[in-house]
Amino acid sequence: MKLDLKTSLKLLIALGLSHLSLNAFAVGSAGCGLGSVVFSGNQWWKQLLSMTTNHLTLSQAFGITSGTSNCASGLFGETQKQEDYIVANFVTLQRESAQGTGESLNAFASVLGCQSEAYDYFGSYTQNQYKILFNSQDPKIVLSNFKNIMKNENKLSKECSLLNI
Amino acid sequence: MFILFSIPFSFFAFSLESDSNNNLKNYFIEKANRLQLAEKSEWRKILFYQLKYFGSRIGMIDGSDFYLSPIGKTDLNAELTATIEHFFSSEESNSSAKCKFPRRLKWLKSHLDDENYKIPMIKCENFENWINLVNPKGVVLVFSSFYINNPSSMFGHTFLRFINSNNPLTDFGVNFAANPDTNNMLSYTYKGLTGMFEGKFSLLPYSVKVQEYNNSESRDLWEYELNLSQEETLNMAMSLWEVGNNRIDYYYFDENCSFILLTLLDTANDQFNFADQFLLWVNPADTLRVVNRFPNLVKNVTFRPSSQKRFRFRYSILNDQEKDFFSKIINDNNQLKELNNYLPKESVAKIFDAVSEYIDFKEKLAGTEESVKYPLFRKNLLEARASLSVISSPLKIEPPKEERPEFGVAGARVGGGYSYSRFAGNALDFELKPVLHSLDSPSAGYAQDAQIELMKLILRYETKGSNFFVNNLDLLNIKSFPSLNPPLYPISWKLRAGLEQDYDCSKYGYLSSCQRSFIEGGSGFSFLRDNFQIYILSQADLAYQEENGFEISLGAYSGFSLRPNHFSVFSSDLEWMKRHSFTYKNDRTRLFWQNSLSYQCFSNIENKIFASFNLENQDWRIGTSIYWYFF
Repeated sequence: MKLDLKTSLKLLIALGLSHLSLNAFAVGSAGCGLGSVVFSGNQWWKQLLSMTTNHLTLSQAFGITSGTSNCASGLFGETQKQEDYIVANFVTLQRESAQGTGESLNAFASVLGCQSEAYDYFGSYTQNQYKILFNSQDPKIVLSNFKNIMKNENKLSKECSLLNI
Repeated sequence: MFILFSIPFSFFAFSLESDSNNNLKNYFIEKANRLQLAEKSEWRKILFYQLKYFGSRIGMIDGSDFYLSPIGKTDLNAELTATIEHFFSSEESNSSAKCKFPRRLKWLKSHLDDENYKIPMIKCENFENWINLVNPKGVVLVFSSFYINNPSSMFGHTFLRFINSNNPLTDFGVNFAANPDTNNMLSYTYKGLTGMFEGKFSLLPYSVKVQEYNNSESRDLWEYELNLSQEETLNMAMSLWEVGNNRIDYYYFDENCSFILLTLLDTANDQFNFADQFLLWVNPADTLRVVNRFPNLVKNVTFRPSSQKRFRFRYSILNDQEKDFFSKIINDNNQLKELNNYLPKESVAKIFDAVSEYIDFKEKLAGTEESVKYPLFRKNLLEARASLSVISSPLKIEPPKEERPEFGVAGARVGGGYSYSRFAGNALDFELKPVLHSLDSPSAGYAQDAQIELMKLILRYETKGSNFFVNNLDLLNIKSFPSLNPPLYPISWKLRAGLEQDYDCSKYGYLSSCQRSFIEGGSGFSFLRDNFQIYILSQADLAYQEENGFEISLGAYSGFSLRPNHFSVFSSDLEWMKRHSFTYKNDRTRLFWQNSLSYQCFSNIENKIFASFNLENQDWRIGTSIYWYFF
């Protein structure tokens, strides 16, 4: 009997340490936010047990107040948001970029500060530059690829306000 | 000289101030008592007081930082007094009571402040930073649907999204979940049932939850945007802040994620009494029903399709030739380049899109995961796809309205039935089934291809011999019958364990049953198209039966269901088993055919007529039953 067991999953989240610290200048990529997002399988008996309730996920790496550390305030908060977004949605962004359109891609444009009128252009531009943009499996490198290339593009550099942070 | 004078003076001033502070504090405590604020429903909601089994309310938060009075978990008035006292302590930092409990402060000020005296406010930097970050403009209740191939998620899960950006995917999600701290099966079970797991709220990017459910688990998401005012939304956020990292012991049945979310929702508006509608157990879809029942609360409903549905869509728009190429690529990961020679690039793009959704669905890719089976192929595929410079058509996936969870019947049911059997005569049945859905029940609001029953109890009274006995106690009875649907060929399976009366026991006469404890499993295939479903499974069974001792059985189980609409179903199944007794070294056969016709009315009543035939001993039983669904 083949049970499809990789389902009721726990969420393994590699978090930077500085959610706990109050270092006022621990900003940007230096240890804030999501490192990677990987959902790993669960034992069958846990699944059977979780049936009797609903769901037991390990998303507790995020406290309610973890957002208040200085990692996530002001302008630095926008960098954080960009990084967290690309980490959390990396595989989807790869696929939608190749397709040149998609909801996750639009949301990515919005965290890059693009006006909604620019989404379509952003989509096709991303598709065009796919090979250069996604030259790495590291989301943070890909994010900086995006920003660097878009900064030098006429239209997107005007339409997208959060490329220089 | 000045200093010498001023020292005693400042002492004097300080004690004056402290006196007036004390007077003010006592004034407000006295006023709160006079107004009987502790009796107000809003106060108990802010303190998360919930009904327990015997009618009294106690505070649900188990962390040590939430209730300020030592008896605050059980005494609303003591907590009120303690709260006011802490509000007048001299502490002015982020860890002061005023900063930790902005919701209580706001509520008390609204009732106690008057033109003469006011509870003084202070600046709370941490809270302000947090509320600016969360910046909730609205609240969405999100349900992750039943997952066909994984019964553990058949109950669904509920969580929240705080609307705080111009795109749902960049909003924040609020989740409540248990935090299992053990991997040992026994202690896991024990701790789960006794509430020893700590549950906590978490605040996380909503897209993480979308990745988890849509992609990693291939489950649909239903989003119910709530019609809350700015103030109600803020109230809720403040209450969430107050709970903060305090733990709430997680019980399997009642204090689970969905219940806790309802208690949080209750803090938004004093008219809300959602949590009170549940006493014994809460299944997540039921929480949607109560929320949807509140007039004008649900503003709109949106749907986020699972990765399987996305793949299905991309595959469905291929023509036959394109489907052939799709199969070729899947079977032999190396035809990317040649395809351009045969087909227009629009076709190639459509095929590549289906292939990439296929890989992502099969590999359950989410977050930053890398494909295990096709890492290089996926990379090449996406690069080849991008180089075509064709923009994909948008995903047009219609929300399956009939599966909307709140349109289904509630999860629990009680029922009664009458039946007549050739050998045993008249019988009356009483049934209690706490959860959740059966394949022989109408499918509105549920998946058509999965069943989960837990702790189903049927008591039977036979008039002939005036016998009253347990006819059936299923600890669990799960069926997962996903349809064969090329190019996906999922396995169907079933698992059942419990205790039942075996009517094959002694072959003739009444009082013919004997008790049988069993565990049974099977796997096979099923097919579902529109309103017709057919399945066949091989199965094995281990049992202890009163007459025959230990038995092993092997056989088959098959049947079909016909669903003219979502409110009625005819189902028929046949079970054939060869049983061998280890104890007595003898063999017997079971051949049992069941038919039933069921229809649902008034959104919570199900009527059923049934006929079953024991083809081995020529017994038969016909009957009717009626069920009432509730939560």
